[in-house]
Parts: sequence; structure tokens; C-alpha cells
Amino acid sequence: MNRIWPIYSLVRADVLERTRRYQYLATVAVTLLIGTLLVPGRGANYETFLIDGYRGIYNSAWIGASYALLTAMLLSLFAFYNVKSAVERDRTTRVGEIVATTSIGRFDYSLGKALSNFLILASMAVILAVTALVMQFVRGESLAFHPSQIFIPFALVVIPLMAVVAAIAVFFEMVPWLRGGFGNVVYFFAWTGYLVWSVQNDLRPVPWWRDMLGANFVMRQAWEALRRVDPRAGPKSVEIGADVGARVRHFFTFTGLHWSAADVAGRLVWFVVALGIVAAAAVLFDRFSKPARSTEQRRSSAFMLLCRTAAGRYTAPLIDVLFGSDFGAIVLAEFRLLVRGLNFWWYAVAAGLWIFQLFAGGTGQSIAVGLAWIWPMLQWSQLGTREAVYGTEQFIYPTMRPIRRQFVAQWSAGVLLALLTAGGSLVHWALAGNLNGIEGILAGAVFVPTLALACGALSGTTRLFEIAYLVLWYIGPMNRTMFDFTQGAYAPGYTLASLVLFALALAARRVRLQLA
Amino acid sequence: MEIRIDALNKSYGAVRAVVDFTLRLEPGVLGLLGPNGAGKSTLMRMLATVKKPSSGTIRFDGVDVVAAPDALRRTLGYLPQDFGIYPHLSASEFLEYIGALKGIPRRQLRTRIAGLLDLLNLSQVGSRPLGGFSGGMRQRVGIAQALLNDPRVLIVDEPTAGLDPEERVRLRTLLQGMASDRIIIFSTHICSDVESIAKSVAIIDRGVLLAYDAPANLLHARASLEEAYLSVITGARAAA
Repeated sequence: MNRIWPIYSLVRADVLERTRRYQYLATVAVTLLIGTLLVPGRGANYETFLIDGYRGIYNSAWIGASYALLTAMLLSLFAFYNVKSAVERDRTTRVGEIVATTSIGRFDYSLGKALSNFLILASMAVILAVTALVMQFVRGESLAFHPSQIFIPFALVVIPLMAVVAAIAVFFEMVPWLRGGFGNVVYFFAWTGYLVWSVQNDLRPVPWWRDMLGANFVMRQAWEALRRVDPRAGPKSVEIGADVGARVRHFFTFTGLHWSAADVAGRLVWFVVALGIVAAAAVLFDRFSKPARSTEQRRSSAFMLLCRTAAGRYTAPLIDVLFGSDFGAIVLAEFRLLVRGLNFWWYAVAAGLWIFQLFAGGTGQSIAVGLAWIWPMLQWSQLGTREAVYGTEQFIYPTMRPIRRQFVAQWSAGVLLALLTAGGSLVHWALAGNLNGIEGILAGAVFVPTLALACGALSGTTRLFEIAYLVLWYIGPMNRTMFDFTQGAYAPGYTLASLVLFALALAARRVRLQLA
Repeated sequence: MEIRIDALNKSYGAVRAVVDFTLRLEPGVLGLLGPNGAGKSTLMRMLATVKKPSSGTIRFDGVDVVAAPDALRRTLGYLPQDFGIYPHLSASEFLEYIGALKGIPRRQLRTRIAGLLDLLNLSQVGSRPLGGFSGGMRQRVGIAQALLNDPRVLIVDEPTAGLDPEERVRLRTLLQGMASDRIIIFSTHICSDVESIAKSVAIIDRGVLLAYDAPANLLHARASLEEAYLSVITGARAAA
């Protein structure tokens, strides 16, 4: 049988299905917006790529190199979460069960899904490459246009990386424990660890397998070019990403990345790695022999779960709970739903973190707080999404006074969970008489579930919150920046942000109610 | 052409979904009757090569389809009980996708899709996104995908769910017309769906084959197949 035609059809159908969704249009819009932000103007209060206070003038060489570097970093993290749903869609829609009865092989199916992921990622990369081209003229620091200096870094740094990310996304979908939110967390930490590993070592050359993102290659060449201008420029002062408050002290002219045959081979080999990852994914592919529960099963089981949890029995007591005035009972029911299914070890770790927060001091306290705020993330991510995920909107929206009671109760359950898991810190600060510390924890306990609720209500999936929160948690509580929502100093700001997010969540839920 | 099922078992932990199931199928419609949770869908998934049995064999023209599933997949049409669609694809695009996965050459596929859309009264909506289809229209798209490769073995799990009475009659007539040289396994718990078209009926409960015979033989002196079915089920449960 001709193998190209089925793979082509699979890729085509998958790409059409994804690109026709409004989410794709939204992704394109966000990508375009980010593209314009990657080259801040001279009056901006942030910079995206600085070396010891130096920035290359915005010629094709600098724009091409810096855009490729930043695009590689952005897409390899955020776009991974965007594409990690190709197999899940077949599983949840049960189209997969039909696919399983066709003669398409495991490898061909996995390859088709990876190619589909790759095309979506590549389309974002192309949008950013074209934006880079336009932004050179918008900034107007150099009008000498050399398209190869913009497009070659994209072709050799970003595109091979996208192939690997596309393959990893399929691999994660084939491994049951990496499919869901836990896989998202694993990828975030793996990505962060790998990036740090590739650029440490004072930007000395690293083997190809240690520089998948191309970050070492681009940053090293930029730094070496700068050293020819200022030999004192140090490798440890490279700033990359949205560096708020950073200012350019000097400019220099970057003449472009230089590619040896070995450098090109070192990039292209990532396509082979991607194929290897697809092959590994194919081995693990269960051919939908363990399908997701059907919509009806999910609906009925979720409803029964809600019934049992709400009242400890079945429907009749639930009606009393829903239509009576006992708001606390609904909060309790929602709380039980949040923590349902967690095993002994989850509680054991949460208890350990609670004690750690209570007794640790200094750096230990910071670590304890950081860990305590990431541990319940997968529970918070359910807020605002459960009805869409389990298909229970039709049961819940018409009967439960959904905004005034159930939705608010769901949010309250999230706050309750935050207060419990971060309770060690609360007691710690109370014993120390530190009102500022208590304010910080309380503001965080309101802010995080509200962020989860807003993300869930807006997107209908858990993924938006998981991505946004992981990044926020990493740059906030783990790095003690202004994004640390547990710091008392920022409590008023996060309280205000909570109010805005809550209003946004309510508006989103109202829209869903009208559409249901 | 025949399918032989021998001592087929499927267990999920301690739960036995299909128990020592043995049956020989020849061209014609087999009506598979049983209450919800009887094991019909599990049996059909095993026959459709989606699931592997815990033990026992399924042979298609002598070939063990558990060991070599492609022997059956090449000529299999399968409509799952609860299937989804890609809401942003049109019916034609969705059918082209499934047809390509079944290995149907492109030109042949286009002709086949046009014929099936016409047969299932979907020609007028073939280019519209599936997301806007009613339940009955989606079900007809499901039936179309099952027939794409002109299958010699057709497995349809609750195919009349969501269809209006006129569509149900049309589907029954379609299946009856195809049955002379095909093995059609038609699972349902609505006896009237299979009473008029089935060459044989198998009644299954709790994973066990309780009865297998021609509808006329199952009827005996009873007024309808439904009565005969209830009699078999209640009798077996009383004996247990």
C-alpha cells in the first residue's frame, strides 16, 4: 500500500481541523503581537537581548539572530503546549477508534501527527520571521536589507527545533502519565533545565546534543562579535527575554552568524532526532485500545460524582443542597471534587510541605513556599473547566444557579485549597507577628485560584492556566521578583488583579451559559 | 467467507466482559442483542481489532486476526457506538481522511465519497462543517465512513441511535441489500431493528452467549422477537 497518501491525508485533516479553529487565529494574533515586542524601540523600558549593556543595531544580522534565538525559546516552550493535543483529540472524540480499525501503522500515524504539529509550529515561526523582516524597517536603525541574514537563522535554528518539539509533543501524548497536566509540568522543568545546561559554562562551545535550542550557538557568536569591539564584555552578563528596566548602554554592529559545515550538520541532525522520537512514540502507541471514556460515560459519571460528593448520597439530597440556602455545602462539594482521586502520597507531600513552611527560615522558607504553591497546581487548573471537560454543562447550568452559587462556590473551594496548602506559611508568619507576610499569603491564596478560574472559564481547558501559572510561579515565588504573588509588598496589586480576573471569569461564564 | 470466534474471553481485572464466546459467522446480518453492559461493545471492539482478547481466537477466512489484524482491517467497516468527528472538517474532508487511512486510492475515494453522500442523503451538506450537523446527520456520516472501502465485513454498533424513523428504515434496507455477500454484525438493544433483516440473532448477557439462532426459531410461539429476547434473558438470570 502507498504509505504517503494516508500520511498526507492525516496531516491535511489534522492541520485543517486546527487552523480552522478560532484558537488558531488567536494564536496567530498573539504571535504577531509578540513579534512586534521582540525588538523594543529606543524609548522602551525593557530589552530582549543584551550583552553587558550592549545591543546590536537593528540590522538584518542582529534582527535575524536575536529573533531566531527568542523565537526558539518562546515556541519551544509555549507552542509545545499549543500543539500537544493531536492524539488527544482522536482519543476524546473517539475518531481514534475508527482509525484503529484501518490499516495505517503505528509509525505512520505517529509521524502524521508529528508532521501536523510541525506544520503548525513552523507556521508560527514563519509569521515571526516575516515580522522580523518588517520590524527591521519599522525600527529603521539600518535599512540595508539582507534577507538571508534573517531567514537562515530561522531555517537552521528554529525549524529543526520545531521538528523536535513536534515529535516530543506526540511522544508525551503516547505515554499515559505524560498526557495530562503532570506532563505539562514535567516538560516545563525539563525545558528550563535543558536551557540552563546549554548556556552555562561561560558560553564555551558545547556539543550539538547540548544545544537543541541553538541558544549557546547564537549567544556565543554574538558575544564573540562583541568582544572584538569591547574585549572586556563578559559572557555572564548576557540578558535574554523580557528584561524589564534594562537599558542599552552601547550599540555595536553585528555582522551575522557564521555557519560552518559542522554547525549546519549539528542543526540538521535534530531532524533525525525528531524521527527517532517519533519512532519511540510509535512503539508506545496503544492504537486506542484504551480509549478515553465516551462523552455519555463522562457526563453520567461526572454527574454522579457531583451528586455523591455534594451530599454523600445520590440525587435527592443533592437537590436539597442545590436549591437550599446552604452555600457552605456546595463549597464543600466543590472542594471534594477538587481533591477527589488524590492518593495518600499527594497528601503526605502536602503535609510535609506544610510542616516545612512552618519551621523553615530564610532560604528554606522561600523554597518551602515555592514548592507549596506549585503542588496543588493540577487541582486549581480544574477550576472553571470541569463542566466543559466532563460535558456536564447541560446538567449544571440550568439547575444550579450557576453563577451566583456554583461558580462562586467553585472559586471558594480553590481559595480554601490554597489556604490549606499554604497554611504552614500563614501560621509561620502569624507566630512571627509578621502582618506583611500574612497579607502576602492571603493575597496569593485569592489570586491563584482566581487566575485559574479566569483561565478555565475563558479557554474551557486546563492548559492555559497550567502554562501561565508555571511561568508565573517560576519568575515569581521561585525568583522573588515583582511577580511573586506571595510577597506582602505586592499584596494590594495582586488583590486588584484578582478582582479584575474574577470579573473576567464571571463574564466568560455568562457567555458560556448563553451559548450552552 | 467466514469468521470463527472460538472460546473468546475478555477480562478487566476481576470483571469478565466476554466469557467463552464461540460463534461461526457467514454472510448475512447477525443481530447482536443484549441489555446495556452485556458485553456487546467489547465483543465488537475485539472483532474490529481495536481490542485484543484476554484469550481465545478470532479467525477471518482461516487467518488469526489477533495475530495479523491487517488481514481483516483491509476489508473491514466499523461504526463504533459512540464516535466523534472533527467539527471543523466538512463531511467530504472527513470521509477523505478516513478513506485514505483505509488505503483507498485518491481517485477511487473521491468517486466513492460522492456515491455514499448521495446514498445517505448527505450530498447537499457534504461541504459544510461537521460541527453544525444534527445527531442523525453525524450518524449517517459515521455509516458512510464504515462503507467507504466497500467492506466484506461490516460491524455496526447501535447504528440506529439518533436516527429518525425514516432514516432507520432506510438504514435497515441498505444493510439488508448489502448482506448477501457480506458479514454484517449489527449490535442493538432494539429488537425491531434486527427482527426483519437478521439472518441470525445472538443474545448476550453478562458476556455470555445465551442464544444463537434464526429469528424464526427464536420466536417459537411468541408474538415478537422482543418477547423471545426477554424470555431468554430472564430465564438465564433466573437459572443463575
